[in-house]
Amino acid sequence: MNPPSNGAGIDVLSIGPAASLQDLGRPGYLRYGVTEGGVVDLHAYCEGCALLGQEKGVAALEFYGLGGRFKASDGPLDLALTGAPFPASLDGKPVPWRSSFRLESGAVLDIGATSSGAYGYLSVAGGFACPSVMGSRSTHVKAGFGGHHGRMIQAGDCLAVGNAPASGAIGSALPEPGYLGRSHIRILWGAQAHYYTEAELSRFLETEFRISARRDRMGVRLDFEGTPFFADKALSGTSDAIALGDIQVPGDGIPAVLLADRQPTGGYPRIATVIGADLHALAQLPNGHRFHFELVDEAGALSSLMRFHTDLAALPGRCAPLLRDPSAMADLLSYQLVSGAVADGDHLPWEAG
Amino acid sequence: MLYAPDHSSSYPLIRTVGEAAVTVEFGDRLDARNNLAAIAFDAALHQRNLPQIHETAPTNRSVLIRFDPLDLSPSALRDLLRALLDERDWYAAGLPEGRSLWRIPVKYGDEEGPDLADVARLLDQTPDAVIETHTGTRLSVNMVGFSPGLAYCGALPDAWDFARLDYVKPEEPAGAICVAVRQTVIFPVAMPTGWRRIGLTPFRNFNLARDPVFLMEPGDEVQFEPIPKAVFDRLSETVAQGGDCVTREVLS
Repeated sequence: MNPPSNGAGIDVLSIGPAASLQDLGRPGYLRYGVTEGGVVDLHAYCEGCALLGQEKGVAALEFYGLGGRFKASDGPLDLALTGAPFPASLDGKPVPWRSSFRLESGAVLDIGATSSGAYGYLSVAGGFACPSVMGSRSTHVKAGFGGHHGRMIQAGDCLAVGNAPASGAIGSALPEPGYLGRSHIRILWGAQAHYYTEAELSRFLETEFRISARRDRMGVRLDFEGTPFFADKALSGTSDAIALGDIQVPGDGIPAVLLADRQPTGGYPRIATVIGADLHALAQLPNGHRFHFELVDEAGALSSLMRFHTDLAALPGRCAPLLRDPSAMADLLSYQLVSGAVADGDHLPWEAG
Repeated sequence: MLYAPDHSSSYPLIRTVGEAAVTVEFGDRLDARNNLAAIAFDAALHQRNLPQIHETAPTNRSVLIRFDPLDLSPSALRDLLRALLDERDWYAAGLPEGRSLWRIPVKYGDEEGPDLADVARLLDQTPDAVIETHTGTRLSVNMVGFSPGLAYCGALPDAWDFARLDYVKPEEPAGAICVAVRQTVIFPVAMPTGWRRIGLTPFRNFNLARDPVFLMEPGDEVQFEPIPKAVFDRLSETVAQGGDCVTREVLS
C-alpha cells in the first residue's frame, strides 16, 4: 500500500469537475451506513496497476468527463493513464492512452475531455499518499472523508505521492479492452422484480435506455421513451440495504443504476441488478449512449464474473513495450498493439455472432 | 418468460441481489418482530464466521449478505442460509447477548428542538408530555443507514405514527433528534431532512477521531435523557475536545 510520501507530488494546475482519489474501497461498514466506494471502473484501475508493475490497493486519481493539467512538483514521476480514452499530451506532445510514461520534474501533462466514455484514471508509481480511513484511501465525498481531505480535487491542490520502488515499468502499453461503448448491459432480476407484472418486465428488457447527464459516483439515471415503470405494489415504507449495481425505480418510475457511492439503504423497489462483470462497462457508458439490458441467469453471471477476474489477473502479462518512441509517432491515439489485441477467451455472448 | 423472478411470499425468504449478494427477508414491513428476527439472524451468521462472506447489513426487516460468489456459490450460500433459518424460530430467538444500552443526553425544545411544539400538536399533548414519553420509552436501534452512522431507533407508541413533513428542510444540524413513523433518528452529521426535530444531542455516533468510529450497532438499545441548556453546552465542549457524552451499559 501507499508508503509515506518522499516529498514528490503532482501539482494540479486545472482539473475536471468530479475528480477524486479512489482505491479498492472499504467493504465491511455497510451495517454502519457506509457503502464500499472505490473505483467505479475496476478494470481500468487494474490496468493502471499493471502498467506500473505495482500491486493493487494504491490510490489513483479518478476523473469524470474532463481531465486536467498536472505538473510533477518535485522530481520525476512514473504515471499511467487508463479508462475511457481521453486525449493526453506531455509538454504538447501526444501521449498514447493506456500506457505508462515518465513525467519529468516541471513537465506538464494535459488531459482533455472524453466523448467516448466517462471515467479516466491517472495512476502513479507509489500511489497517491493520503491517510487511510477505515482501511481505504477512497474519497467518500458525501460524508467528507478519505482521499484528499475528504473532497473532490481542486485546481491548486498538490497531491503527495508515496515512495515507489524503482520498477522501470514505464514505456509499456495495454491493448484496448472490449468493454467500452457496449450496446448491452447484463442483469439479473432484482430483489423486487416480483413487484412488476410480466408485461412490465418484458418492456424493461425491450426498452432502449440512454445514459442521462444526471449521473455521478452514486448512480446513473436513465432516459428512455415510453411510460415510466410503475410497480404493481409499493414497498410499505421499509428499507433494505442496497447492493452495488441495483437498478432502483423511485417514485417517478425512472430507473437508476446505483454505483459505488450509493446510499446504503433504500425503500424503493429494485427491478434488476447489473451483474458484477458489467458494472465497469455500465459506469463507462458516455452520456446519451443507447443500450439495452440483457437478462442472464445466475450461472451466466458467475461464468462472466470468473472470466472478468481471469482477465484482470492476466493484465500484467499483457503489458507490452511501446515499440517506438511515442513522441515520434504521428497518430498515437489510433495506435494499436498487435500482440494481445484480443483478450483470450473473453468473447462476450453478443459478440459471438 | 426466461428466468422468471422469484414470487415466493412465505417468510423468512431468501432473495438474490445480483450474483454477489442475497437478502434474507423476515417480513414485508418494519415491525419489532421482523426487525428482531433480522438482528438475531445476523448475529448468528456472524458467529459462523464464514470467510466467504464479506459483510452483512441488518435493516428494518431484512439482512443483506455480500459474499464472494467465486469462493462460495450462490446456491451453496442459499442452502447454508436455509439450513440456518430452519434451525430455529428466528422471530422468537430474542436479541443477541453483549448488546449495549446507550444513554443519550438531549436538550429538548427551544432552538435545539424547533418542531417540539408541532409534534405536541400532532399528539395532542403538552411539550412536557412529549419529552416524558420520548425519554421514558426504551428504544432499539432498528438499523443504521441512509448515511454513515445514522441510527433509526424504534418503536415509539402508536400515536407517534405520523408521516414526515411534506417538504425537506435544507439542512438540520449534526446531533438533531428527529421523529416520524414511530421512529427517532440521531443525526451524526448535518443533512437535509423531512423529519421533525424535537431536540439536539452533543453525541456523535460517527466520529473519525474515535476508535471505534461507530458506536451503535443494530439491536442496541437507546434511552434519551433530558438535559438543560447549560449541560448541553458543557457536554458539547467535552465532545469538541475529543471526549464522549454517552454512557454505555452492556446488556446480557
